[in-house]
Amino acid sequence: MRTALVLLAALLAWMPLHAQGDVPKPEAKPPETKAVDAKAADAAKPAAPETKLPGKWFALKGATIHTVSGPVLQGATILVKDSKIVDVGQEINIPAGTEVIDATGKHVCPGFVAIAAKGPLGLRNASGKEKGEHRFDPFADFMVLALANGITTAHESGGMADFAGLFGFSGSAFTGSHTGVLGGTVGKLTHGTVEGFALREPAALYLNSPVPQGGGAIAEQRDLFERAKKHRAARKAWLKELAGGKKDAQEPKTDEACTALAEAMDGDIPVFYYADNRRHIEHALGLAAEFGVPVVLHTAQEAWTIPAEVGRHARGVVLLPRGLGVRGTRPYTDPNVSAPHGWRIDNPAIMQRTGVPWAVLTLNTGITTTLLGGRDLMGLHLEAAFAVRGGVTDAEALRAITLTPAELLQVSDRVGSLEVGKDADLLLLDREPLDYRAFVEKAWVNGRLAYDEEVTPLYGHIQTDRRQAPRKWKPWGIWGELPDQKEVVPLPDGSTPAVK
Amino acid sequence: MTPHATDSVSKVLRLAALLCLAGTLLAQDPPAQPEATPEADAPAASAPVTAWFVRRAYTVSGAPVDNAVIVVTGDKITAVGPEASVEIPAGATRMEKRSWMATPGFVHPAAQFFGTSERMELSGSVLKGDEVLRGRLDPSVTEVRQLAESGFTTVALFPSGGGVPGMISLVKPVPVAKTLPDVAALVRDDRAALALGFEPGTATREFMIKTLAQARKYISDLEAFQKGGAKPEAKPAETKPEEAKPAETKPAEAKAAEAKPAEAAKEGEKKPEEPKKEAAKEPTQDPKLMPLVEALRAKLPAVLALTSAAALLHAEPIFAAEVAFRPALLFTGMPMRGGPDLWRVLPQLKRLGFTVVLSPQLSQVPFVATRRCTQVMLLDAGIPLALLADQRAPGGLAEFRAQVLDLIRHGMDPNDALRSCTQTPADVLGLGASVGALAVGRNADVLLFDGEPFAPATRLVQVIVGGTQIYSASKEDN
Repeated sequence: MRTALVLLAALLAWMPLHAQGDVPKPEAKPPETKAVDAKAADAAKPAAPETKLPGKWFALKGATIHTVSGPVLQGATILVKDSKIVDVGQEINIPAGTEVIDATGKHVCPGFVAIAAKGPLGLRNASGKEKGEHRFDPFADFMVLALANGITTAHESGGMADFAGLFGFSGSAFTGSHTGVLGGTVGKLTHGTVEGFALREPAALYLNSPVPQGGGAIAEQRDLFERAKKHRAARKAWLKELAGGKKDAQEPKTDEACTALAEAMDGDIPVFYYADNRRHIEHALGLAAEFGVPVVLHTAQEAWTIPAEVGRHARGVVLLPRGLGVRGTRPYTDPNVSAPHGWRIDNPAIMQRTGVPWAVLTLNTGITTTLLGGRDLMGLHLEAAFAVRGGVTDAEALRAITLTPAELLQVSDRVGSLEVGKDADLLLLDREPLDYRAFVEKAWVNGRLAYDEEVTPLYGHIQTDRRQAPRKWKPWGIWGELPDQKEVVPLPDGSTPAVK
Repeated sequence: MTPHATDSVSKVLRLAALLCLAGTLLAQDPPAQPEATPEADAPAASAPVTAWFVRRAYTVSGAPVDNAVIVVTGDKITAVGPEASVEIPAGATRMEKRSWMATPGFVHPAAQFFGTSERMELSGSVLKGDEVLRGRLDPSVTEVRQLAESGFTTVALFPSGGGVPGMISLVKPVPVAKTLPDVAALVRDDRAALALGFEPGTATREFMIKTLAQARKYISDLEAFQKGGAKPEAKPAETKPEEAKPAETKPAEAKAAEAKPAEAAKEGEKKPEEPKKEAAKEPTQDPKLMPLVEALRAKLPAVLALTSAAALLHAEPIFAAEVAFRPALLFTGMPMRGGPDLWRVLPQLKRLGFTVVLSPQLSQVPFVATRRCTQVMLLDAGIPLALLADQRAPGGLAEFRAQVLDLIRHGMDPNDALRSCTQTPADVLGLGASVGALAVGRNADVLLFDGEPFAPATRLVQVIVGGTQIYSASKEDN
């Protein structure tokens, strides 16, 4: 282990310098400078890694670490360099010069991944060719609120906030249509910076179930799948011709949704298919099976009725452990339906036992304190906890808001678990991640402190048995390094915090 | 920067048509030039001389002077100081206003014509990108009068079009009570500064990157051409402006090159171009691109309009390579969510060192924040601040001084506040040596108040522009 680290550190010490020479520079530098760089690299190579720490290092030490991809490690340490996780384990070597944060008695887990969201990315009507990456607001209040509740990655399909159940009766809970919409953003909550935001853009192809609209729509959707299949074949033929040396071969072209669906057939792009009740799910699975499209069933409330079929043909499901609440599809007491139907709290557990990847959705995918307040994204971890009530383990439920959504969004190479080489998107919590009493104390995104309870006055004043006194309240906190505070804001109890 | 691209970006942005009128409200005489030597600037012997005796003169360039006298000869200030130490020329008109206080005229770095019926008349002639103001301005617009009545003696008109580079125009002042001027007399300079807009977005970003690349290519081509074109050409280029000077009606202009006023900058820019036309490899000039080229070479003042702190973060990397480009940052966002959320990016602003142009309106900060005054925080952090009257806001113009008073109540030093209304915005427009202060050699743009300039009960009693009274609060003073 130690040897590996030394080697790794040496490599890291050497690599940036080496890489620098390869990067094309805007201004042509004289070759002598490069030679100097190379010499510096040579000089750095034999130096002990402990004495030279290129980059920014920090470690959370002594915590209970929920790696998600592996076991829960007690009294473990996670080491971060710049934006990446360098090591995680119970006995790891921390290089000298690393900022060590004592996390004894606390919990560390990957940042949560909100698989359906509206708001936390601070997107401003990003759509079509306007990429969220280029127009998001890194200071959005929703971003802070989501971070305070553990979300570090979110998938926004655009359009209105998704009230999955409330407006879901026509199968249009997200921006989509039965003929497909390509779009959306998978991004990180990079509060305070525009760097390192985008994970996948456009994020996915969104399909709504045509079943509620009837025959014409069903035929249109089928036509889309058939065209995509043909396009895929034509494209393969074209690539073959190119490889065979036929340079004037015409590249086959078709519309955006069709192209995306063809790519999805090769697993290159996620397909989210809104199908909440059994009829819709069966229709979606039929297409998925016939055309070999690995669909993710969105809001699959009745997936539990046909778990084996879902497991066979879908890549995964997105569902609400607490059910759709106020909603339009069939209530489970519908006397007109004889087959099993409706919401069950053990829907996630049934998926888990059948081996279907499942991710947690919230009833309101926005961030709000009104209307469906309490069932919005700020309660993503609480929604997952309800799956535990339905019969899954804590670890399985945690996976459903971290690694599984990352996998379904096809960004699990970057986020979703605490593994060496993955992005340092971490939460430091005072309790088990799914405990309703847990608070996020700090959240790092890309290794950068994006939320700190000490300085952001959202929950810092709330007193629990683990939080003896109101936290020091520095109202401006992470919103900017400020000159000395002139005005003091009273705490809720009327006292004023001391100003340094 | 093809017209097609320009149009598409305008469409994408759909920014409200932003009219900004930039103009020194100067007398009809040729504008005074900065740092003019006394000889060069010496007014004709026949020029009228007026001596204003006031209780206090806020000079901005120096400390306030009590019991001051300001001597105005023609359109220039020729002496400022305590009454006891200033020699009053014989034959000077003595204006004994010993209860009044004087400040330099306010400078509006980005004025707009909004909210009046005249806007409708102007709507057909909104400046777009490369268009110029000349011949398009309706001289009867009430905004010109309102601006003067609010104390703005230098006003700038911004072009519309968001991400489209366009030109800020300067407009001459008009005596309010007198007859309307003709348009030709109103427009002083069509191309005084570059205006850029940036709204975060893919299309804007791509357009900006493309345009910057074009400008950069022109500059590198030009430099290569100048180097390759050999040194003999450089010398004539240097001598040229000197030859041009006597030909100019504004002899002081070339001498002001240090201060780089707009005209001088353009003269400077023409130098390398003219010899090139004779050479074969001269890079072709896109007239729409030239203002940007000049701004990137720090030869033309520039104003970059942004909507929020987030926009700054998105824009910063795009302009990062342009080391000579030092635009003023105009924040036009809504007070609640836009400009005043600059407290989030104080470190970035401090690092950039650009002047921030902002309305004096207090922000309504979001729930997670508290009551702090962005404008005060900017100054506290050492970031130059220029204030403008937000004409889109109700009372934005009439209540300008009241809004500045709010800032003073929130901890802004009154002298800093006055500087932010005068010298700093003048610097933004590259006019910092000719307006913005009560100092010898400056334009005689003077505001006279019957009390402390920003006190609530104080009236603005007279507005003097280039030695000419253009507004008076009462008829007896007229």
